[in-house]
Amino acid sequence: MKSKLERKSVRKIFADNNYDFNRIVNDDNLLKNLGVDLNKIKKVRDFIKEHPLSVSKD
Amino acid sequence: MKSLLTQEELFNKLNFTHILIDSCIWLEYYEYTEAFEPLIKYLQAVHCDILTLPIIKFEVLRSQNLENYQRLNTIIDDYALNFTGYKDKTITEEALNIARIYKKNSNTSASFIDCYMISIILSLQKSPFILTENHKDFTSLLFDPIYIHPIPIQTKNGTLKIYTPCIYEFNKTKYAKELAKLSR
Repeated sequence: MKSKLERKSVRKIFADNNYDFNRIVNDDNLLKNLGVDLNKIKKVRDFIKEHPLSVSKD
Repeated sequence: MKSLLTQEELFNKLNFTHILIDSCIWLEYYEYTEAFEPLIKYLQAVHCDILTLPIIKFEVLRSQNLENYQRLNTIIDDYALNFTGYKDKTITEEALNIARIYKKNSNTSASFIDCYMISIILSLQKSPFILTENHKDFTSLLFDPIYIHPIPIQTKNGTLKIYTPCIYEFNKTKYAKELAKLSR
């Protein structure tokens, strides 16, 4: 469960950036401040690159 | 149809809630990871937890070979919380109501799994959201689209394909009206 302070911080960061989807998702520092685990996202991306889906035989 | 929200309204809707991600989005995310990544990042930034269900996993994994099965399963487990807090009997009864509403409104394409998913969304009191590309079965009959994120993809044969993942909110008022019509 996130604390009220965290909620306030998240709202403030979004408000400071005009709630702009593109601005927020393209700024790694903002994402880190918002608690997004960029290492995990990169790990998943690398995993998918290394293991593309093979064509299903079914 | 209700108009789409401003970015601030979207934030207010999704902030510290939960969302179901439909099977089609998981498959597209695996296929076009970088193009779909902003959506995942946004949901995480807004602190909207991603939920999955055994039936969503079933839909994603059922036609995959063993290799693909393991890979997709890993990705879903990495991102999503497995939601199991529902009573199967009630959910099944609601799914039947939804199927009957769809039938009454001449939408016969929704599968049992889609009706079942809608029934579970209905049971989520605070967060009746789904991210899907299945606009046919998550229609404005029972849902309001609140955010559409067009993703243009250059396919291997050079043609342009535009994916349109959309966040829908279940509309309980519409559902109650449709439910009342069933008993007439």
